[in-house]
Amino acid sequence: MRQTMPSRRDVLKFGLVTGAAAVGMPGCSAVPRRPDPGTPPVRGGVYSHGATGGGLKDTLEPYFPVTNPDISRCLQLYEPLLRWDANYEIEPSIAESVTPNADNTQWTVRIRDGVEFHHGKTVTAEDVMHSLATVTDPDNTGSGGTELATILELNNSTVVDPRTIVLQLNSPYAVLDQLLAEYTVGIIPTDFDISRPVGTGPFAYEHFVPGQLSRFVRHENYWDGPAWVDELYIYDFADDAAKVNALLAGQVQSIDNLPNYLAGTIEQQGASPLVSETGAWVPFTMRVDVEPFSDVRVRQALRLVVDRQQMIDQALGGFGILGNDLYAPFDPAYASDLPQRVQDIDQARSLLRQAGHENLDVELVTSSAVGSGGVESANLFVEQARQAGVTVRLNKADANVFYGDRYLSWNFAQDFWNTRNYIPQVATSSVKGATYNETHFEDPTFTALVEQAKREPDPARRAQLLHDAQVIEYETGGYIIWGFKRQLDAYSNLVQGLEPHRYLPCSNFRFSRASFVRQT
Amino acid sequence: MTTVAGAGCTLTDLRVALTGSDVDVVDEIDIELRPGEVVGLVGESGSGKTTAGTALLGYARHGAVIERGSLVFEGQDVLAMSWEQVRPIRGMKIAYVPQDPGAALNPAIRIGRQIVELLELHGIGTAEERLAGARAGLREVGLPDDDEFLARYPHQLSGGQVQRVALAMAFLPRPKVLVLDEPTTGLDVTTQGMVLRTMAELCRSYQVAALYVTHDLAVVANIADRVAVMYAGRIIELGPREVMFSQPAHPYTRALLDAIPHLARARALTGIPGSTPGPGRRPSGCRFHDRCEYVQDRCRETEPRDVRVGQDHTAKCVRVGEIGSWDINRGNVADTDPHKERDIILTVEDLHVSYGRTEVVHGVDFDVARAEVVALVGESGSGKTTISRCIGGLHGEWTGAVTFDGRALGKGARARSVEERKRIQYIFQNPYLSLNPRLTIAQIVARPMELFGIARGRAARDKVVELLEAVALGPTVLDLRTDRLSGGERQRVAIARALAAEPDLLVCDEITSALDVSVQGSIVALLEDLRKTRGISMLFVTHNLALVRSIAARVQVLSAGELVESGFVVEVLDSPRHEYTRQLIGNSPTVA
Amino acid sequence: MSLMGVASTTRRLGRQPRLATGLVITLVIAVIAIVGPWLAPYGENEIVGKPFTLEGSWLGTDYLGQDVWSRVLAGGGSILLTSVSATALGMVVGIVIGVVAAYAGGWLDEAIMRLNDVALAFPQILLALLVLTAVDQPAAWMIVLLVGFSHAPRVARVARGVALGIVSRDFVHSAEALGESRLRVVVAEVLPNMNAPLLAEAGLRLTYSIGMVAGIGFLGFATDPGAADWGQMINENRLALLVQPWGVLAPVIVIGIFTVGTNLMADGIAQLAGRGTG
Repeated sequence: MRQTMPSRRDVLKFGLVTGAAAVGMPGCSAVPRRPDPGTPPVRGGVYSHGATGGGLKDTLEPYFPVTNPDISRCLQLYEPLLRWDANYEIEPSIAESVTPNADNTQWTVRIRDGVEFHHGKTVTAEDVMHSLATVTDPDNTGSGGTELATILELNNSTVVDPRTIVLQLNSPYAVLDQLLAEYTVGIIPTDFDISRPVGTGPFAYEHFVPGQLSRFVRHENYWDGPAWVDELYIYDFADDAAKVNALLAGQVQSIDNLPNYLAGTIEQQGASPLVSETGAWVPFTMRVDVEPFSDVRVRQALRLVVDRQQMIDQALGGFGILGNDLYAPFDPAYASDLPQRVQDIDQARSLLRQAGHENLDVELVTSSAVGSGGVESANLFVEQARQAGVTVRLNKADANVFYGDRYLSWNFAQDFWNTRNYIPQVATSSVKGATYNETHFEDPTFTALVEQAKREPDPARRAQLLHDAQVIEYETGGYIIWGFKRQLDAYSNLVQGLEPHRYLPCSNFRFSRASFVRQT
Repeated sequence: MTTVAGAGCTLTDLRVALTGSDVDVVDEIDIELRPGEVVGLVGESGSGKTTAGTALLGYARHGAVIERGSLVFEGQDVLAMSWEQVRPIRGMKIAYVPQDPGAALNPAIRIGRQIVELLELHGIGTAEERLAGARAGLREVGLPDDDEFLARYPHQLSGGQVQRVALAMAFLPRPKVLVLDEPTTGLDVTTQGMVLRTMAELCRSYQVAALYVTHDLAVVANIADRVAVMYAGRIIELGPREVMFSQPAHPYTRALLDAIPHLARARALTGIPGSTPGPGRRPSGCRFHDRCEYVQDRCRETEPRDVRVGQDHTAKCVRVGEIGSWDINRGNVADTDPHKERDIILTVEDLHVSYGRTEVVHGVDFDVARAEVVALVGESGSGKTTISRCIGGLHGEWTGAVTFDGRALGKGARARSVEERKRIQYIFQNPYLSLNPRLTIAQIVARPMELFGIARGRAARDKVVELLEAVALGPTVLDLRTDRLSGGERQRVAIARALAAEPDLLVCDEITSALDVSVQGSIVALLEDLRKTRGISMLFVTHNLALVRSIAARVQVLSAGELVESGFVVEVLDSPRHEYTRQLIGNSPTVA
Repeated sequence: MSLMGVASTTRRLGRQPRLATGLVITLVIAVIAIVGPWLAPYGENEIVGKPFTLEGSWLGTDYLGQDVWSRVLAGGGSILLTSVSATALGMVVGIVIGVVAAYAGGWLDEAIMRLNDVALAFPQILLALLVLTAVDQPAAWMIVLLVGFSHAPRVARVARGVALGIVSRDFVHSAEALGESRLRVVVAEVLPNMNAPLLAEAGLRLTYSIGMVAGIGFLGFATDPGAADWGQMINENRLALLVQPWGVLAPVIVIGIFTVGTNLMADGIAQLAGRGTG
């Protein structure tokens, strides 16, 4: 089965026509049904994926992916030492194992035997050292290397043998494995050349047009089982409608980030939604250092004002999981024992009265740049707060204004965060000096607990320390975390093998597991 | 009456009505046009004269329709023909010269070419013959026939020349019947005289039957063989010219003649009360009965038939023969005595006026005495209106001295004292433009009183009523806007407004030229009354020499911005010294 | 107005189908916009069902699960008030500029109109967007001001043209000869005679105002991001056009009908004016 390559323009044109027709007349054409779960995979075929976003600045750089299509390409070409599985737990990848010493200051990496780069060379300790040096290069630190660079002492790390490295840290760090599992810390060969990018991933580079498409072929010697399909195309889509139409017209076999209101529609037209839990959240952010939010009772009141289920139903179209003002839901240490906070208007009023803010009047800054669920939840919040006598004035700022000079200094605003575990999240958002500490949260006890946990090698004791830290945030934090988004992607019923995945969209972009369904 | 085939035409029992109603525009029109004869069709605005004229071409304006009647031409009834049959006759056999014939000339085509094209259109002659015909046609109307003239564009001709080219083009296809609808409107008397004479000569030499439609009795008196007078859609009197002007039979004709000023003698002009009723507002019975001084009950009830008064002379009046004879000299009055003492109120010395860099008045001197009417006479472009505007404070670009009651007047109204602005009032030519259409009559007339502190509120309103009475308007018009008034009524309002300021000098700029003669007569009578009773002085600007004789004590004759002759009216008009004055008098159309 | 006055006005309107149609449409939409909030089956921000479904009243729900029909009814008031105020402002400023220029004449006229031409060279919505992007949260008065001022140069052009035809009339000269103050000449003599053409212009400007105000809402500069605003509604719901078209179509249709109404009205007035003064 060999397809001629359609231009993106054709895809859009054809997609729009057939897509519109299909939406207009559901059931008029024969649509494929979802394959039975036990259907055996078929080898061969050209698989196309529609990725959301992208533009002329698209890149194949292993350490600087920016847009969604960049990320999806990164996952095809490069692999980190460890990786997140579908449950957001760490599993080995290029490394067989990564193990710390007693005080978490030395980590031993054992490289899997016989992992091959696309150009045939076997992965060695030099390649791994080279990769870590590149990603933590102080002159050009990759996005996955920022945290690594602050703890890793590569000069004192040693190559024990071609498959073994001992990494030396400058201070105890209990979750180094989590940093090494990020897709932005992929392993590249020492002779890496960006004009002909090479990695160990399931697909090898063939062709790339920024802003339009990229083409890959199967990596035959892939260590984790070669891909079923022969070739892979990844197309950029700027427009939701065009993307969906391309899927329904059969021009692409899967798309990421399906608008949630379309979930029901596509099912009648030969495609299936792929729903995954994620740890992505769209919080309201209250600055704990300015009036009136400096009064903890005001923060508590506003947290009680929120009808979390309504937020999920209306702002996320039902595609969400309840939040409890805590982040990192997939972390083993997540404090799931804390009681679920629900809307309590009376309690909220009473707290406000005690704080002397009975007729509280605040401005909430939102922006469409916050992404799906942002402006929607802000609008809902206005109505919900009104029940408690709180006047919320909504200010919908332009993206450039919202993430401009005043970003991180809005008194009451919103933001978006992707899935992270607790310690990395705290490091970026909740301690003094954190890059994105938008709530200006700075609690000495909290900071001490987290610092202690970073050094604690015993997982059970570490979990206890982190639990105590979460209680502090649960009681006094500046975030209102009403829920976590469910990731919604979609695939054609002519393919199978995509499964829900908690880390990245579209089954973690693991197209090596996707295969066409034999036509009968 | 029978008509010789190929000679003239006969219009019988014509009725033109407004589409879809029984309201007639004209009715019972019977008229015979004979070869080589000019019939003058005279009427005031709203009389239906233009409708009757265009009906000769089988044409009715939009919104009107020819309901009845026949037009027998060369043995055929033109009005009964189809559109295709009428077309070759129109323009060829029955030609029409409109009010502004110059507008019919294509501005982008040379004169000679246009005339040749006209002949081509009618398929007359060969190429050489057409060119020769064009030259001959131009010669006939007194224009040059050389190549240089033929190569001119219409804009390179004067108004009179354009009119004559149009006349030549009307005559070139050798029509049998010619309808002329006031083709000399807007021309100076001198040019008008020439064009009229040319037309009359051509009609006679080519045996054309012509109908000359006009509002101006004086024009008709000069060129027509027979005269038809129209009133409210009917021909109320028809007869030979001499008879019509010496022994008019119909009361309306008589009243009209009484309203006309004469060049040869001063007359106390009288107007006809009221105004000509338009279609749909005409009274039953005799249509003139509500304005007629001889009215009887039967006039209101019966529609008068044509009554034969004499040879070729009929009148639609049941009282013909009962109302005595008419004498033109009845209204004569004495001219102002040149030896009367004059108490000068306004002196103009060495007045030079310019518009931008162009000087249009070059050193004019004259004066106006108390309770005296001084006329400024001249053709268009002579500067008469410009001078009046300077005195009225409407134009400020002048040098020289204008002294009013011993004090030099400022240039422009804003440079003058309140007292001066109050004492000199200006009345405009066109009452349709000089009154604010958004204000009521009461507001318009009361404003000068408020402005000059003469009266306000209730008192002002009372005075407005008085003033309206003085200009023969009832208090019913007080709260109307001007669009409800006729032209004559509007001009009376304008006069009332001027009087409201209690002025000592009225500057009247052609104030009767936009009005019908009967209305003009009454306005002139009003002014004369105001002069006598209120002692107001007037500067009366006009192009009509005959009017000057009836209204003014002194006259200044202007030509191209210079005063060529001035003096008492009787002296200037009876024994003109300047060649230009003589020419002006000679060209002025006059009734007797 | 007396009963007879009403009757005669009605009759006159009957002879002006364009004006009558425009007037009726405009009035109907205006009435809907004004009393709409009371007719709405649900509250402006009331959640009535799942987003983008046919729950709620007959037009279904919007992106938040609010009732589209109720929001259409509730959302007209702001657009109506803003565009009428902006039009009024633009007319007043424009007329003042135009009439002053026409009446003053000479170099002042020249200077004013050249400056006006410069202002005219800017696309109407551009300046508004420039300013709106610069401020955090646009207030209603700001939009009125921006839309109003963007109209002013266009109105000024028309006003000057109309006024030029009037200042040269004799009744204006007459008032000047009497020594009336310039202000009074303008107010009592010139302005009242500009009624009809300016009314037509106002109708046209209202059409543009509605378009601009809706456009500003659509581009995301609405004064209240949560409020039902016809322009903003189109933006909010446009993504789901295929799934729940009414969220977009309903406001588009009312804006469309409204502008057609005001435009017909302006046309009708212009026809009437052309006929009336001719």
